Amino acid sequence: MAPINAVAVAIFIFFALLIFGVYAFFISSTRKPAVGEDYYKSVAKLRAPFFVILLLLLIAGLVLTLPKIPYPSKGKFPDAVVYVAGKQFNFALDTQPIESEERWKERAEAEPVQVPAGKWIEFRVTSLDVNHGFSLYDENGKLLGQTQAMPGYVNRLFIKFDKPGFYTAYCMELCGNSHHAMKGVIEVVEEGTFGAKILNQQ
Amino acid sequence: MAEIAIKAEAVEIEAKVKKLTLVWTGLTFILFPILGLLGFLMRLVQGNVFPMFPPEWFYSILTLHGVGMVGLWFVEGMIAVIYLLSKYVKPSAGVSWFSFTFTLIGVALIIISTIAGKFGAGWYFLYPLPYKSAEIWPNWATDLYLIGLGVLGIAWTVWVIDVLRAIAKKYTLNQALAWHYLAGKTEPELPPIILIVTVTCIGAITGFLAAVALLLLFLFDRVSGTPADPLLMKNLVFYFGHVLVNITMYLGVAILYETLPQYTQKPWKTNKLVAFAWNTVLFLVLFAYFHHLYMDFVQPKAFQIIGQFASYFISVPAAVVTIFSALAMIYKTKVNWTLGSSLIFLGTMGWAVGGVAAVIDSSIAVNFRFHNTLWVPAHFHTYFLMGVVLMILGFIYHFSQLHSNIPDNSKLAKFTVWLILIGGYGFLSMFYTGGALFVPRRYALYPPALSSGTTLAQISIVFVSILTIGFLLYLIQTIRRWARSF
Amino acid sequence: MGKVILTIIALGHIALAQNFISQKSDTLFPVESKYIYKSIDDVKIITSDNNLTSLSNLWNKKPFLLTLIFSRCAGICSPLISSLKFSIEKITGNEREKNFYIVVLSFDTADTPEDMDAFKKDLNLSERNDWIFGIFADKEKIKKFTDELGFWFNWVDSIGQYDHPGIVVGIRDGKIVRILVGGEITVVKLREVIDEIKGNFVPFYEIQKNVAFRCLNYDPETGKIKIGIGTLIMFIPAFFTFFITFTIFIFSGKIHKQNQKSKTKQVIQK
Repeated sequence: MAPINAVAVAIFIFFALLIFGVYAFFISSTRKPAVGEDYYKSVAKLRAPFFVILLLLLIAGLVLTLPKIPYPSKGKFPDAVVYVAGKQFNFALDTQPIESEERWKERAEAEPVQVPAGKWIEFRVTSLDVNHGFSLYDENGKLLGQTQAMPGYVNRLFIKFDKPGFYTAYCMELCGNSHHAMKGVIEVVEEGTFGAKILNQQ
Repeated sequence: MAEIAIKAEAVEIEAKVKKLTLVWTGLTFILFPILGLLGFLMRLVQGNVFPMFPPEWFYSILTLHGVGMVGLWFVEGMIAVIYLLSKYVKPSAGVSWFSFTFTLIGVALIIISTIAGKFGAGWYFLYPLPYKSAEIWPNWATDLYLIGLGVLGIAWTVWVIDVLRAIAKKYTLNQALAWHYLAGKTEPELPPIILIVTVTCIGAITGFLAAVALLLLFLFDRVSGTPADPLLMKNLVFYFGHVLVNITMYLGVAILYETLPQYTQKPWKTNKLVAFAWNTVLFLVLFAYFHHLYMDFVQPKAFQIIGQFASYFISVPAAVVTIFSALAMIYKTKVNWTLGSSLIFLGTMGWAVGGVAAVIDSSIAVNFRFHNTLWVPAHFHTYFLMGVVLMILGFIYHFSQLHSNIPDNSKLAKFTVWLILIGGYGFLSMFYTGGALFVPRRYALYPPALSSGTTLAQISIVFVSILTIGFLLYLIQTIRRWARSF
Repeated sequence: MGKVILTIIALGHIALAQNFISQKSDTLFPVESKYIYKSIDDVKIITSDNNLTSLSNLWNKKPFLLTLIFSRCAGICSPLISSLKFSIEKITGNEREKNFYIVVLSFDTADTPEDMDAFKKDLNLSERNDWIFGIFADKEKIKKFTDELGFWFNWVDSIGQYDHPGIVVGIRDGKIVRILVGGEITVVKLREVIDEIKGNFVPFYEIQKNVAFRCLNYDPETGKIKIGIGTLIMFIPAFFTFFITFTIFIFSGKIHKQNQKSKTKQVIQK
């Protein structure tokens, strides 16, 4: 699991349990009501500290997560570019733009595109029909990142693959009755091997 | 003479509103089990219990379950609030009946569209899928679905406008939004439910207008053949959907503000803080929906960041004002815990837990890997199923018990509540685990690499069964009282 | 251990064999992904009006499209430049001052600035300052430079011509942004390249034309995103809501007050 998501899950479990605990405590307190006394005010005193803590937590969340937004910024150079076109019900990947349905069909059935490991790969993702979600998973079902494939637009997704192997793009936006079967494959090879192949080709 | 006339009028109104509430509630008793069981069926299919189940059926059921549940709890929330409001203002019973009739027509159209027409583009009918189904469903199914939504949109817009009209009859706008509290005044006194309902109705109007714009653009595409901008359509549909779900939540909260004090014998009054909180909500609810478009990298970055800010800070008023006050209200206090009050109160717990999950997912960096995974249905089911649904079910029981005078069976009620809590949170925990394992949502079947989705669905069948028994017990206890209330 | 190594070698061979098919097309045209975002050599060039300058001098001013030809070419050079000219005019209109250059260099050591000037004239481009025709000042550097672009050329004695592919390379800040290959440069592909070399990050391209109510319009000429009518539509619901809410409260309140007044009047009359 990506570290940030592991932290997110841990934070969620912590707060969910805390909330259950707080509710259990407050509900059990109604079993022995303090007759005649008004505890509302004494609890209400905690409101200001609670507000401040919550605010600080949220601000901390913003400060920690906003620098990690996945949108590519100006002047960020990838090491290689892969073009992706989604269409019911396949993703086609290529090193050249896929503009026509014939090209999409040809590429969707072709051998997977190869990219080097440990390098920034830019995916230029679009769709030839409806909205799709281009989500890259490794062989263990771990999600590396995603972007929407939207007709008429090209979304640019930057991904670094740490390990060589086959990675699968699943569709993450409902696109019809075979939505769950839609995919595309990319092969990640060692950088050394990749270089060797280039030399070999030249 | 005049006083007697006013009293007679009040009695007459009460009888009218009661009848209205009874009838609407009857509709809930039919639709809730059906839509709930459809949800159960989807988990069974995902658990590969019926390997031959056609996926296109799954997606039409998904669509019906989603749009049906959101619509159902909105209308039932509205009627609950109208019942509670009628103590202070007089919404027109005629408009509610009009709305009821049109809701039935709209629901019928949507059921025909999804069941007979196999329309399966999801509740959010993301453009351009509805008319590009790869020939799974015919275009008339989409037409019916959109017309159905249009009918509901018209009926509900008229409905919320009438509620606002009723409030406007008694309060000015700045009173209804409690601005005089912000200025330090406490006169005239404003019941919090008026404030919340005003905020809700204003929000509802923006949401419905977005839906109108969306439907008109669909129509424009259908008639002229000129494609619409998918980015614009996505913005509009999520604006509409997000606002509708949020305000439904607020209807539940309105119920809480009005009914919980009846069980604790403590007043829940508007003050500066409450006023400030709900005005903030009215503002932020318009921007939070941007988090649905985080993975559309073409959306201007500023919108995305505004989305994260709005989604983060909208949790503050909810937590600091509503949830905190609800807890403070019961602390060491004698509470009359019935099935109704327990469910209403525990609804706030679902709101809190779901809120934490929502805030986490509304961080763009986290959403990069949680977007459209099971984490999403996990969080919204937490504050829907375990939140507003419990509040509204609690209200229905509260209402039925009040009018039937059948005393609460506290042991059975306790048992029911525990079944709902264990079944509900168990079911949700499977969704959350799925999210943590990056299992995609809206999958009829899971590919081998994501087989954990299948396992989790199978485990959740156990919890959903417990939940179903819990709701069944609830229905038995409530329907008995409801039937006696006529 | 030995077996493992053997297996790896065997697998490697299979992998190489598979690549053999794609090798052919690779040798004909450079595969963009291998060269993209790599720096190019900063060579000195002599332009068709006999000025000595360097490529860095150009890319420090504006990004450029680079293409390689030779003046005696009887093959694709002339049609390539013609189609490039046609597509550029199609995209940017007939504006004289573009915010990018088009650099046409000769890889033929026999070419002189005068040859390039004549070539430029033949294409009706002699008046155009944004079109820079030139030769390499240092002939020794041609091979290294073209290799780094994935470009190759071979002298074929029988026809007295160079054999070479047609490519157009987008250069920004001395880096390869895009490579277009083939004898004909289409408008669609070139538009993307021009978008890219402007230096600004292009978040999206318009693939579909003729879309109603766009949220955002990307202008490939200025590289700026303009807010479209679609964005305004997004604000309409909020705007109308204000309108409706105020109307309800103002009218409903007024009617109510009038009713109250008439009621009190009635009571007084009674």
